[in-house]
Amino acid sequence: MIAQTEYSKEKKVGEGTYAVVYVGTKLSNERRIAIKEIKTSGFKDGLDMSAIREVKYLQEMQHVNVIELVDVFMAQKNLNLVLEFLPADLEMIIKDTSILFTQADIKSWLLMTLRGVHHCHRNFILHRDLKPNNLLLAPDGQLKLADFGLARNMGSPQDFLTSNVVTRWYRAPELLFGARHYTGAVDIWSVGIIFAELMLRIPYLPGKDDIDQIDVTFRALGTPTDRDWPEISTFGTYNKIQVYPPPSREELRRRFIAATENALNLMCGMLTMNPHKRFDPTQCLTSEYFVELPEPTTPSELPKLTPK
Amino acid sequence: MSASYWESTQRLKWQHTRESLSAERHQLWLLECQLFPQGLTVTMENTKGLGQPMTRTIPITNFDMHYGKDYNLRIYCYFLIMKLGRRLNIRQYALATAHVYLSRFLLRASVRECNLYLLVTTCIYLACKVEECPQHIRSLVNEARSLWPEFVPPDPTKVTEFEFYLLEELQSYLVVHHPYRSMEQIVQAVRLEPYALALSAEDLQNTWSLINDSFITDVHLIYPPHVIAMACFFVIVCLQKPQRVKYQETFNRFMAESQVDLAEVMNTIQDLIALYDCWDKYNEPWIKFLLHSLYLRRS
Repeated sequence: MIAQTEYSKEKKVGEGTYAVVYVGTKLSNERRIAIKEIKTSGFKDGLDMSAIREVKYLQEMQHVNVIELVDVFMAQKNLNLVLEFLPADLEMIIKDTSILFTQADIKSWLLMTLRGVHHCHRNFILHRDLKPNNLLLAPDGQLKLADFGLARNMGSPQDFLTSNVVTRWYRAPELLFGARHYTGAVDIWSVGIIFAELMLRIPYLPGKDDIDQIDVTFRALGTPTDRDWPEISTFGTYNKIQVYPPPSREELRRRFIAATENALNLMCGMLTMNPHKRFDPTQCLTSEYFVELPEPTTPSELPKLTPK
Repeated sequence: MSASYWESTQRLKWQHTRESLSAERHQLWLLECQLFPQGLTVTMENTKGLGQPMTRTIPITNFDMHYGKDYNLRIYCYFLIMKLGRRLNIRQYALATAHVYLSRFLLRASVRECNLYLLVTTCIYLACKVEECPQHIRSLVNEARSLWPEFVPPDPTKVTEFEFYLLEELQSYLVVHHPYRSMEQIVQAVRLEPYALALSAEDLQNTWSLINDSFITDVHLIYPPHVIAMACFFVIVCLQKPQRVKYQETFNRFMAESQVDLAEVMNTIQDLIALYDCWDKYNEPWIKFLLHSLYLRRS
């Protein structure tokens, strides 16, 4: 922990519920950095859980596809997290209609996301808020998982977890049903939805509210039955929902025109309703999709935001 | 369990050797001698019942109230954490984390410069958040106040303010790996062939208690959790009645073949034995009296 004078805060770039983000410079080596200043709300309730989680997990993890926590310092009664400076995120790229991207680009982003998720999971950490907006892009094209404010360790079986996690559109079915025990499979579902979004260039399952999300999800992917997910009838809300047939392969091919068979296999593996049968990070990373041509684009050659 | 111990900040940033630990403590000792050269003057009732109370000065160079040297203080801290933790039904895992925070903090700061009762409350508050069983600040402060009304201020912001300093002294490294998890792994491992040893529920319970006690010593600042778990198991297995020689032999063979650093295990055992020796001489009224004289004098 170094004194604040080591860093300069230059411009405010964002403000969230519990933090303000600035861009700045590490003065000793001119490195561009981002500073996340945690609001302490006049010490009323102490440090926010999200801040604690972020510090706790980022201190322990070093991986090229996870955002680097450079330093932590205290100044003016505020906690400041010094993070590596990442100028763009995947959501900006998806929304910028002037950018064209190829199947090889999608494969590269997906590969980097899965590597980051794999690293978290093998360290027993669930991210619980994966979405394009939290996948940040470094100037050299590397994609990094960020925002560990909802992350937590994989619980022991006696722990109850809250199902109120993950931004709605990326929420796995077991969370929609209010499960109190879940696994890394919730993160894989989010990655599957992000994969679909990269191919479609629009959000895949944009529910209007939590109830609508259930409807939208099952209309697109079919309502699970207790044949492929035996535990499903134990969820209280299950009996009240509309039953939709699962989409045929042909329908999926029509929806994802550019996807190869292997791409669809991987996506369906990640979007399997039953969390026990859903792919784990290793299954995803060893999927045929990453072996077939085209090869994933080298990160430095990926499309970037056009400077305005 | 989160992240791997081998890559953890616990091992990379907070693992001491005995030498580095005593070097750091010596720094603190020098600082304390400089800050409080006058020591502590206490007023004692005359034990004979009659006559004037007498005053006595305890020089700063006495072992009393130096966390590095005073086992009375260490054992007292352990009881403080346990007491508040039990009141609120907090999981042992979180209390263990709180205890490690306390030992790390008292490596850098003296009990003479901070309020120990507030420190204990804050360590528990932070540890509960880190271990995902957050306590409401008001109920925590209320409980702490009902235990130590003179020393815990009613204003909860005192705790949140202290949390800030605590985090700073911890250098914001929060994840701590404990021997409890290693203990379970050892149980799994000895159950398999060629050992096929089923440890009894009573042995497990005793090992668990021994691990709890080990937080009073420095072993958590020096050795990895699995070494501590192994050492505690060994002690418990050794204390078996003599007719269970086979049991002990099997466990010893397992330990020898486990590739756990035996020198570290022996050192941990040594520390535990030393601890129980000190525990026999534990003088709670004395340490309580010293701390109360210290804090009440100041306010």
